This record gives sequence, C-alpha cells and structure tokens, in this order.
Amino acid sequence: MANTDEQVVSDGEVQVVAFKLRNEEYGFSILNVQEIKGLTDITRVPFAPEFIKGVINLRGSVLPVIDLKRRLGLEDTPYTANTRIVIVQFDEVSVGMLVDAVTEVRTIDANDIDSTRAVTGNDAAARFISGIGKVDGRLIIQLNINEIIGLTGEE
Amino acid sequence: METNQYMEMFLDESREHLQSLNDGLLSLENDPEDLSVLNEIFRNAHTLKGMSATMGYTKTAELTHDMENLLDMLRKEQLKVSSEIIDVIFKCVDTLQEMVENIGSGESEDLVDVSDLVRQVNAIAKGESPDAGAPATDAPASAADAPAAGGTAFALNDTDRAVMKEAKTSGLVPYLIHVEIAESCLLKSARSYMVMNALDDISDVIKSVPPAEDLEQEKFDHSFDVAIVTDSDAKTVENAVAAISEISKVVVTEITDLDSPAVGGEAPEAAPAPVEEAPKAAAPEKVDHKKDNKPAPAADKKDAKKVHVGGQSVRVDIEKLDTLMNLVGELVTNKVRLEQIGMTHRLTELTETLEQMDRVTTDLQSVVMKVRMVPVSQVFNRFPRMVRDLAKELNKDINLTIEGEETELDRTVIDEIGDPLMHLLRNSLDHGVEHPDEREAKGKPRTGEVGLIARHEGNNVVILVTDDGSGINADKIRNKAVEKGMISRDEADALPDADAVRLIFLPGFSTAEVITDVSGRGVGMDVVRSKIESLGGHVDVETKIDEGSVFKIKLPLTLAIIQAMLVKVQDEMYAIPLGSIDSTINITPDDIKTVQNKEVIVLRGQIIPIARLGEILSVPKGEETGEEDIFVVVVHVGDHKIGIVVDNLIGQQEIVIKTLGKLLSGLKMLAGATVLGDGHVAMILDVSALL
Repeated sequence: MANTDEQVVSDGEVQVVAFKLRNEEYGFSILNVQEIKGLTDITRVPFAPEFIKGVINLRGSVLPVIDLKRRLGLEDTPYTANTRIVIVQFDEVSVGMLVDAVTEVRTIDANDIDSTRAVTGNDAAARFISGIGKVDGRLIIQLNINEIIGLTGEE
Repeated sequence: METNQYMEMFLDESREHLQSLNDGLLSLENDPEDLSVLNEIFRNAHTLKGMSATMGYTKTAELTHDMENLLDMLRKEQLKVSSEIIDVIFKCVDTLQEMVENIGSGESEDLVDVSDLVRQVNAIAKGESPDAGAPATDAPASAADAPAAGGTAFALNDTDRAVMKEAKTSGLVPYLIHVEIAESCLLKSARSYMVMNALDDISDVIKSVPPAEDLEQEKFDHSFDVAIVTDSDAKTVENAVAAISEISKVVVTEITDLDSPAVGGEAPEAAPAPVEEAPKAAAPEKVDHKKDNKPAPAADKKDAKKVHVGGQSVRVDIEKLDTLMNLVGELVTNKVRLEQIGMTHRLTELTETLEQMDRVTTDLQSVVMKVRMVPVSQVFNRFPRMVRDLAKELNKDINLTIEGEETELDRTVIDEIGDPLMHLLRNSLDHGVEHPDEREAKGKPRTGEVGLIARHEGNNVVILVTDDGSGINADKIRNKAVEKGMISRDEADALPDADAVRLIFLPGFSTAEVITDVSGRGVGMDVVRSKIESLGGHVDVETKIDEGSVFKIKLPLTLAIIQAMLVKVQDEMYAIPLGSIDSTINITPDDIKTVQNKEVIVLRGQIIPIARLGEILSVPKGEETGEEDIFVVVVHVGDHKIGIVVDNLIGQQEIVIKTLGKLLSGLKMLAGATVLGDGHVAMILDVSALL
C-alpha cells in the first residue's frame, strides 16, 4: 500500500520530488513517483472531468494526465520548455501530473513539515494538501495524491 | 508427498472428465445401445477415480468407484440402461462436480453428503429401485471394492502352470506376490517398474496382473500381483520389494496348488474372502468385474492415448497471454517509430531491416491473437445437459442441434458469452417451443427443434439461437410495453412488427404471463443485450408466428484488435469501429435538410438523422475551413442509422483497443482509446451512445 505515511524514508526524513506550479513549490513523495517525462502530445478526452487534461501514450499504455494547476484551482499558464509530466502511481493507478517545472529531489526532516490546519486559507484546495515542508527558507507544499486523483469521494 | 503443485492440473482435468461424462451420458440417453459411448463414459469415470484417489480425495474416489461399478454392469449388460439409472448417474456427476469445485475453492470435499447417492447407486447395482434400498445394503459395493483392496484371483493358464511345475522340480519355489503402492504415489508406473526390476534380480517373473505393459502405462489402481519362481525364500522376496519406497504393502504367498486354475492371492490381514460375503446377486458380477474390467479400460485407453499425441498442449494463464499481447503491441508501436526515423533520415539499410522486422511482428501479432482464441465448444458443451434437464422439467420434447462449435473466439469473449446464451436458450425452451400436444395440434412434429449455431461472418462471429416454436407475437409485446408505460399506445401502434418485437430488449420487460423458474423475471433480455453490447457485439431477433424465432448475436472476433475508420474533426483524431459503419459519403451543405429542427440527409431514399461530431464532443473550434465538401460516416445501431459528420476521413486501419483506465471509466460515447502508429492517442467512439 502506497500512501502518504510512507513518505518517511528513515528516521523522520522524507524524500520528495519537488516541482513548480506558477511560482509555488510543491512535492510528491518520491515513493509514488514512477518517472518524469517531458511534454508530449496530450489527447483531449471528451466528457472527461475538467481537471483531466487528456491522455498520453506511455510506451504503449494510455495514461490520463491531470492538469495540477486546474485541479488546485490555480490560474493557467502556457506550456514552456520546462513543462513536465510527473508520472505517479497510487493504488495501482498510474496518472500523469502536468507541472510547470521539476526542481529537485529533496530530503526534508519530518519535524520541518507543518500540518496544513495552520494555513488552510483556501478550503477547496485544503484536502489536496497533506503538509508543508520548510527547507532553507523555501516552502514545499506536500500533496495528497489520493485526493488529487479523486478515485474516492467526489464521484 | 507434496501434491499442491498438481492441484491445478487435477482440477482442470477433473472438470474435463466431468464434462465428457456429461456429454457421454447425454448421447447414451439418446442411444442406450451404443456400447462405445458406454465404454467412453466408463473410461472417464475410471480415470477420475484414479486421479482423485491419487490426490487423496477418498470420498470423491469412492463415489466414482461406485458409479464405475454401475457403469460396468451396464457395459456388460447385466443391467439395462434406463432413464432412471441415467438420472442417478447424472446426479453422481453433479455431486462430483460439486465436490471438485469445493476442492478447488480450498474447502473440504466432505461438505457434500454422498451417502444417500451411494445408497441409490448400490441399490440399482443390486437390481432394486434406487429409492428402496436401505443404507445397510451396500454389500455389492464393498464386494466390488474388495479386489482393489485385498487379493485378486490370479488366473494361471496351462503354460504358466507347466513352467511353475517344472521350476518346482528343479528346486525353485513359486510365489505369488501382492504389491500395494501408497495412495499418495504419483509415479505408480515407476514404482511398479522398480518392483519388477527387484524381482527380476532374485527370481524369474512368470506373470503379472495386470500385464507388464499395463503397469508401465499406469493402467492399474494401487496394487498388482506378480507370480514368480525363485530359489530365495519368501522373506527375502518380501524384503526386496518392501525396500522400494512408496510401497505400502507386500504379501508373499507360496503357490502350493499348481493344479487349480485360479490361485488365491489373499492377503492374510485383508478382508475375509469377499466372494463368500457378497450377496448371491452380486457374486457373479464380481467375477466378471475382475476378468473383464482390467483389459477393457486398457484397450480403451489406447484410443485416448492416440488423441493425446495428436494435439499436444500447454496450459497457460490468461494473464500471461494478456501481458504477451501488450508487449507485442508495444513492439509494433516502437517499430513504427523506427520506421519514421528511417524515413526522415533516409537510412535505406535501416528501412530494409525494418521491412523484415515488420513481417516478423505481423506474424507474431497474429500468432498471439490465435493463441488467445478458443473454440466456442467450450461454452456450447454445457448446454446439451442444461437443455435436457430443462426439457424434462418443462415436460417438453426438445432436440438441440449444435453447429459450428469449432468456431473460435477470443478467450475473454468466451468467458462472458455463456450467461447470455444460457438465457436465450432458456427463453427458447420456456417461451418458444410449445408443449408436444400443442405442437401436434398445430401440425408440427411433437419434438421441438432448438438450434445453437456459430459461424463466421466477415470480421465477426455470429451465434444463432433458433427454435421452431410459437414465435413472438408483436401485438402482445406492444400491449405489454404500453401496459408497463414504456411507450404510449400511439407509439406502439406506429411501430412495425419487427421493431415491436425488439422491445423485449428494453429494461424491465418480461412477457411470461406466469413467472417461472426458468425465465421471466423481467431481468432477462435487457441483461442479455447489455452484456453482449459490452462485448462490442449486437443482438437482434427475427420471429414468425408459429414458425419460430431466431436470436442473432454478432460478436467481434476479438476484443483486443478491431478494424476501424479513422476520422478527423478539427485537429482531433477519432476511431469509429468498422463493424458499425454502413458507408461513408461525401455531400455538400445543400444536401442537409431539416425535419423538426433536426438535421437529416436523404440517402438512397432513406431519411437519416445526422450528428456533427465536432459539436457533440465539443471539439475546440479551429478556423473555418470554408470547405464545400462534408464527409458523413453512416453508422448503424441495430436497424437505426445515423450519419456522423466529420471534417476528414483518414482511412481504415487495424487498431489495438486500450482501456482508459479507472480514472476515466464510464465516459459516455467512448469505447476506449488506441495508440496510433505515430504514437498519438486517439479515442474510439462508442457509436451506440449516439442514438
């Protein structure tokens, strides 16, 4: 079972793949990240939920891609040379996440991760966030993959 | 002995044998005189017994054994085949099936109570009616059991005796050795071979029962007897044999009376002579049993062996095949990419190599496809039994004809098609075919004909369920539909008969006036339809009053690869399954007319509504091309036609269907996606959702 608890790699440390959405930094647990892919053609899927950008061909399999900015209620930005698709796996479901840029793989001390309660300004997006990590004065917002994929609830 | 690894094999083979038993019994019922059928049934029962005993399922083995005894009596015409006996044997088969399934699901075989059935079987064997006998009368069974458990009358012919006598004069002692091999032994033939070898070293083997070649081919239960002459004493012989592993019992007896034709090979601690204990009625049968039983199955098994050699096969997990299929798909996509690289960079050498590779991958693909195909007989073969039982239950005379059972379909389709077919057959039997008296009154033969026919039709497989019954009364259907509020009276009256009959496929429709066990719960035909449509197929019905009905199921050969027409709307590419395409036409904007604000075209005198794909799928609008030509793909769903307006026709192509995954499941209008040769993904349209 892959879930956010597994972020703890060893003795209260968490490894995250950090990436940018607009000018904020976010992160997925590295345990959920399968690979990072450059932007390829995304085929629109009619009647799909709005936050699903479309599907891509990942070595012969058809994979849905979630537009993370749209999912988190952030404003849209055009694609750049840095735009990436982060392929994450959760409960045997593989999904691509469209992000503006992948910055680095960071190790964060568990003590440096705050629960979200303190900062949930935007209620709608709060359920997507599992914690906020502080590294060298930067904030990396930890995302709850389960909620983002939205296989539970919602439907 | 670890038997788990053999469990799958045991289950598979048991199921096969039970199926053959079912088939055999059905044909026996039709032709009770047919001895070859009876022999085959016997052979199946015998093998089943051996297998279950080997695996340690004693109850299963016991029931099979009793059943085998009964069959043996039928075979030797000590009993006459009657429907009563067949029913009991059918019951045995059903019970065995249940036991095997229990074993398969990891439960105990003991969950099924067989005592009553065993009593019935034994009662028949004793010549009583199956209901009469009390549990105490299972003597014949135990008597018949005896040869397997205890000694065997060992028939020595004159030559054998002469040899032994001569040996005796030269100081050798003739012995009879009874060897029992452990029930758990999996390689009985190897053990018997070792026994014979050991005996060869210390003695001269005169004879064995069963004969040596049968021993080598495992044509014996768990024991065999050997007659030898030797200069060693009984103890040495016994030790030599007992030293071999998995030998549970060795009894060495000296043959003293060389003049009597039969030599009793009775084990000292075995049950007292069964011949004396068995009731008189059973006694003669027992003797026959011993003499005829052994050689007969041996002879039969030779035929079985032949068949085996003809088609060697390997059982493969379907998941592995799926993986293989995916890998081949990936290979093909990569190959196309390589081809493009070769083209762009004008690498002739690469292009030439790729042409070779293309041939190989195409072959590979078709082989993998073929591997996934299984004959429909896998589904069909369970129906004769069902039809027989149901016909009895309904008091109808039914003759089921099966055709084209060798037609092959993708494994996944085969797995799903069973239930819908069963439902259609049940319907035909229950509602279609009339009672014999009624049929006679109508001037039809008393026996109703029900057909199950499979055949290829282009890229599809068609399965027909036909009956020569009363047909479906369109007016009745109309009334029912109105009564149920499914359509208005006016709508109903306006419907042509053929369409009215199709109302039975709508949810919540059931015409049976009395709800029977068989059909008519109102969850019938619509379930059949939705199941078949989920398989990418289509079901239709044709009927004529008093002449019968034909249900026609059209199925794609495979679910994985289909022929499709690729179309373009703005910049988006879509695939429309070729199976549902009627024609493609080229029109101008003037050809589009409106009827009640709905756009239609007239094609060969037929008014066809049109749907603009771009609007339906809300494709982002590009620039107006201002093109005069409009492409229309006319598709059909059942008898309905609809024209899909697209911007461009790209062409026809074989596509591999991929699911959209959990996240995007259940989207309307989409049947899945496919990866095109250039690596792009295209959506596959579900045409039936357009209506």
